[in-house]
Amino acid sequence: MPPETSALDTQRHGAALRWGFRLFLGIQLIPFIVLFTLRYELDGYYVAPTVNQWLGVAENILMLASLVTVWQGLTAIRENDRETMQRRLKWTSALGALYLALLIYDWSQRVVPVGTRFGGMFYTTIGVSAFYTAAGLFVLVATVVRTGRVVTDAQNHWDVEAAAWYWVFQGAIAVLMNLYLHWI
Amino acid sequence: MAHQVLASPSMKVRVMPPMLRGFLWAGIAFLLTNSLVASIRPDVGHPFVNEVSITIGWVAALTGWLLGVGAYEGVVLPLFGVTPRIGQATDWRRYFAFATDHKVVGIQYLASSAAAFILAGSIAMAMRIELASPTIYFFHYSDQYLAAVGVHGTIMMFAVATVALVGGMGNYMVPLMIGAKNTVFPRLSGLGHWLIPAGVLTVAMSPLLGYWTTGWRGYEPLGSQDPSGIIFYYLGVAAMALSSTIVSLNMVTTIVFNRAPGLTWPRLPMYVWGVLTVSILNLIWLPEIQMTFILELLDRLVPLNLFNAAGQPLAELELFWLFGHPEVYIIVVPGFALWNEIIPVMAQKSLFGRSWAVIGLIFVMMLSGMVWAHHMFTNMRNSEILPFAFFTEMISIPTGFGYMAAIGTLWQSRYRLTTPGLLVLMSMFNFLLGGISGVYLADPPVNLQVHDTMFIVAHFHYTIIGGMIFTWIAATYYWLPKISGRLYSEFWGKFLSIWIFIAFNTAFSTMFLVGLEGMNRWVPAYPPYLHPLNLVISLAAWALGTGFVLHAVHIVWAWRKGPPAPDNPWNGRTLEWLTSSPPPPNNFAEVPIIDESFYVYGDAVKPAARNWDRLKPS
Ligand code: HEM
Ligand SMILES: [Cu+2]
Repeated sequence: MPPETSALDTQRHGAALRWGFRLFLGIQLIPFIVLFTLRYELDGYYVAPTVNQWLGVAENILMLASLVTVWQGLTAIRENDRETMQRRLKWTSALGALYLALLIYDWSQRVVPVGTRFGGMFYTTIGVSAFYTAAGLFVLVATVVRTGRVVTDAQNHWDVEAAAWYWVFQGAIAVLMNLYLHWI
Repeated sequence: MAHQVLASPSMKVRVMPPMLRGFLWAGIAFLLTNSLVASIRPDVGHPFVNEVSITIGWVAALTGWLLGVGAYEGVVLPLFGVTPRIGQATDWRRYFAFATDHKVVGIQYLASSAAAFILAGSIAMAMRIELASPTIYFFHYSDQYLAAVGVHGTIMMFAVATVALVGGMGNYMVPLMIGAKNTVFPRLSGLGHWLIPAGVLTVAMSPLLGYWTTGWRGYEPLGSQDPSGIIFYYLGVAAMALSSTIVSLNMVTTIVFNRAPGLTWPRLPMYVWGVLTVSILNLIWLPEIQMTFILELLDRLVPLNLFNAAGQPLAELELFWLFGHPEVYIIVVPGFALWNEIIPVMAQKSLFGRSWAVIGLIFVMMLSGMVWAHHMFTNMRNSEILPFAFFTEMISIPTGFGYMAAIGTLWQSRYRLTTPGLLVLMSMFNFLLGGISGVYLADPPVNLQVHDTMFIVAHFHYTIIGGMIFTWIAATYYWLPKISGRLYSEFWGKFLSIWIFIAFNTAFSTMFLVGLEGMNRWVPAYPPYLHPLNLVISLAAWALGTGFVLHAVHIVWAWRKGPPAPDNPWNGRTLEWLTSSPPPPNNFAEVPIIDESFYVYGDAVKPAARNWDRLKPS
């Protein structure tokens, strides 16, 4: 933004960023709609009996916990508490990393054969959602580093807000996709 | 704490030209990653470069390329809260690096699209060399010819037709036309541009990995049986689709939020409506096709059984055309909008039925998602065909709204037949033939006869070249004085336009005939009775190619050496004409305040902006 912008301009710019970011998250649903439809076409709601359902639950619990910590982080910075915010984001990253580790363990068991109709969708759908999680981890780490360097307070925290929204978005997707492929 | 080093745009700090650095980083990233994959998985590491390693290596190379051209300083460092030591260049060098100024990005996109057009166009010339004779003589194998067709179509669709009027003209003109200083997400557009050269190069290099044969549609199960070249088709399209997606995100947000005071929705310029509707289509359908191609890629690499005989090949066709038909409107809707942008200016007459034209654009946008299966009639039951035939024919109604607005404006006007004015009329003529042949194609009995013949090829070239490319050239002449501050030669502009009009219509009307006579698509050889017509097409096609190149030469000449242009040579009313040519860095000296329509002409009308006399930089 050019330097000589007024307060009104800044406010409007903030609104534009928020709206644009929501639109971005909205269109990120589309790949999952594709996966959802394709799975339905290929296997209906069939779930292979070999799938480790409780591992799926454990993964989801980790992810849900990370959604709580990230939200606490956002609340903290709204109350001008930068240290708590950073701590909570670090917690979130740790939980996210743990989630991915568990997922890799889940996959390494190879309880579902890759080449079957269910297996193909099992690995691709969870894999795509894991890609979003990995991207979210990168964003979280970047935000922790960034908020240590630039002014971050109750007024200036668009970066934290965007990171938190993104994390919630990918978390919701991950939880749904896990349920969808482990249980339903 | 923040590194408070002076952000200096000085060239001395920059060690290497950004594009060179991009190539270097891409190369290093590719080698490292490819070797890593080959060493971790020795079983897939034979040969050293294989399908898996090249895919992962490509992702690394793309990242290296983007960082190298400037995303490292422009995106990554700021993301981590570090102020980069080097700023963006301010001289000509800014066109060869990551940029955030919407006008620079627009010109980058236009230049890349034009380069891609020339590249894919020369491949088309080679195809016509082959088809000038009934036997294979120019290509060595039929698969080589098919790979050429695929590269041609893919680059034309994803780097030219989808890009030139949105990433190119859209980035440049939309902020100007809505009275904004810049876009909301300038970095997205800046990054988006550099995905285009990467994607074009990827697709252009695909034959090195093996001649793939599916064409731009990537049909399964053919794709999974093709040589490895198809991998670079999936990857290249993924890059180019991402480019248009993030640009569209920026365009929509900019149009919603950065309009000048008084520029209400009913006053929104026609072209901005066009970019808005197209961007919405892009945002819905490009992620869809991207996911589909990623699935096809995984299907092949892992391998899975999603789209082969053990899965559902037809699902891939559906997923492709769900995107594919909206794609054709993604191509042509900015063209429709431009007709109604340019015609009132050239006629100096109020736009006829303006709100109907806008409603037309919106309904075309919505209906375009409901007709995809008309590309698959040969794979369907009759009962399934009928609804799709019906909706396809319905789509010509909202299309007609835009068309009628243009005709109504032309009616009894004293139209100025300038080069852009002439090209718009030519485009409308061409599109009429293309669109009407589409209505025929929507008729099941006709479709089942001519499906996969050259009749189809003629149909979509009439709509795409005739509708979109002609309009792109018109828009370039129309805005050239604004973008470059210079005028082109009216004689050469018109002469070359008549040239391409004659060559185009000769080539592609003959192509309708040769299709009806039984000439198939996707064949490098054909029965001798089709030779005369094919020879006519080839000759006219070369003339057309030459005409396009001459237009490019003329435009580049005018851009650099043409006589200086006045700020508003056409007496246009939209905002871009109220600032200087070329526009200054922040576009306007002060924020325009709009209180008149842009499309009303007559003796009593005032300029659209209240503060019109203070908008130019002094
Ligand atoms: C808006 C501009 C249009 C463009 C850019 C366009 C483009 C295309 C393209 C690219 C194809 C063939 C794709 C392929 O097989 O590789 C095609 C086929 C077709 N188009 Fe269009 N088209 C347009 C308008 C229309 C209209 C207005 C209609 C009907 C009212 C129509 C009906 C069809 C049909 C039915 C086919 C399938 C023919 C077949 O493969 O059997 N098109 N079009
Ligand atoms: Cu279609």
